[in-house]
Amino acid sequence: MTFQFEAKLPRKLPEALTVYALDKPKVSNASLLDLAKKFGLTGQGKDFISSSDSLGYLEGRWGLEVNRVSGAISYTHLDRYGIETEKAFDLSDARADGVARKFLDRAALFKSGTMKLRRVTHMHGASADLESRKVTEKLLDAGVVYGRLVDDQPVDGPGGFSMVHIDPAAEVVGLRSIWRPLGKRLGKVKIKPPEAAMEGLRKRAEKFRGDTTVVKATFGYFELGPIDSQTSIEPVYAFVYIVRDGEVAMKSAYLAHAGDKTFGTLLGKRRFIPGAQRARRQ
Amino acid sequence: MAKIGVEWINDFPPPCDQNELSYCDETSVGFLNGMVSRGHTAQFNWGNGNAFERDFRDPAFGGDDTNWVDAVDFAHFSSHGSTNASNVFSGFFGGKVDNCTWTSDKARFGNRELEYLCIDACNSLELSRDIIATWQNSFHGLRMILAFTDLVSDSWWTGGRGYNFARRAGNGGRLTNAWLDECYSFWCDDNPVTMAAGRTQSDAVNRRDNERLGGGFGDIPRAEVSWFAWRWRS
Repeated sequence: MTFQFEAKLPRKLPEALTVYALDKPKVSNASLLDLAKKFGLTGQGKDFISSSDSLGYLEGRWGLEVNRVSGAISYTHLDRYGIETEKAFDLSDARADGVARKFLDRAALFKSGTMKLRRVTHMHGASADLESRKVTEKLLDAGVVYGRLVDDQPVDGPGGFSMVHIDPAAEVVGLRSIWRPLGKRLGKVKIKPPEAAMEGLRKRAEKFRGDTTVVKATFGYFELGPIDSQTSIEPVYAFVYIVRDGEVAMKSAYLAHAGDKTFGTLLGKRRFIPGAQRARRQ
Repeated sequence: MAKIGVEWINDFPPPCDQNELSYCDETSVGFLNGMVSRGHTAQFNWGNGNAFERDFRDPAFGGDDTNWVDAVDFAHFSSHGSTNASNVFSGFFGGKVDNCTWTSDKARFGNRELEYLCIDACNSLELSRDIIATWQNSFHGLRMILAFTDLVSDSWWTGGRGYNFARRAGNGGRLTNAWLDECYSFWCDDNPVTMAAGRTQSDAVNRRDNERLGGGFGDIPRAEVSWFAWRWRS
């Protein structure tokens, strides 16, 4: 059994950071229409789709949906997003970034200086026939990922990003964003050195069979995914690790508060309770 | 309305011992809840020692999938997984009924009912292997497999993906878009993949991109499956 850090935390950490409240998103027909206008739609549509967890709006061939809990946005062209076309995607990453930035700037979704390009991802399509097995592969889009910054610190986690989808015609055909509104200051925390967090992870790894490798180690704020409620945003140490045990491997994450005071838990309750199971007859 | 079945394993006691997982119930039961919230019907929800390997094995190999996984329209499996150099996928169980692992070479799906199979497990549509060799013999009316290449995270923070996918899939959204959007994680580097069968190249690509639950595509008899198309984000 081995335990090793393949990834390293940043050498320089701030001495203190501010903890902020995250405001509950305001989700209404009016707020959706405002958002639609920011994306270049008319906002004159009448088709709203309401459910307990989201509110949607349709205008022409565009669909816009906002999650009621997190405010996560999904905006897609219903005919063009995720559909293979004759033309393969061939824009450079720099060009895709340019198209995406122009779209975000025009929509003015985020304050200037609060986002940073993290990665240009691609959707790939492939096909092959059973006889020859010759694989034809094609790039279908670019998903340009911008990470959120709070006080110049990166925001990690399943939230805190915006991904703009560009199609082969160099047009925006979708956007996914989890970016909760930043609220008032809740306080300031001194940043603890990372050793205790690293030791906590090492202790967890002692329980595993096989070799543990930390493949990602980050310091920054942390934002949850689309269906989770989050009332504050505070600094954490976040690690993604892999455990290899023969032919079977697993990947998981470990989080620890980086501040000397905490404002919320990092690990939520189980969302979906499986219910008691009676032993099944074999 | 579709019939839904899920099997998930967090605990792996002897004789099937593996490292324990923590959130396979979240992904599978979340998927089930999401589908039920959209009006679909829960047929079974078997977890840990109640999840049986033979539920996935075809009767041609002595299994009982006809009464379980192949008796529903949409099944979801969450556990450990791996694909070996011989292009055989193994899904791991916590109890030995009849085996600790089910293997893709003993799967024949859709010869009764199954149309869509989600495999929330590592290396389940492993692009560094030959995914056609791994899965082609499973398509007996099965239309699509939705799975992952490389490793996929078992964590609370990403555990909502089953529910997030189901609420879109259950609402008639395009299955591939829903799977790739909701299961991709930039943070954890989770890379979802979907794979569809077709009679021709354009049919396979069309099904891959446009298949929806209750959509207009029919089942393809085994003898007419000639092409596969797959899609992923990385």
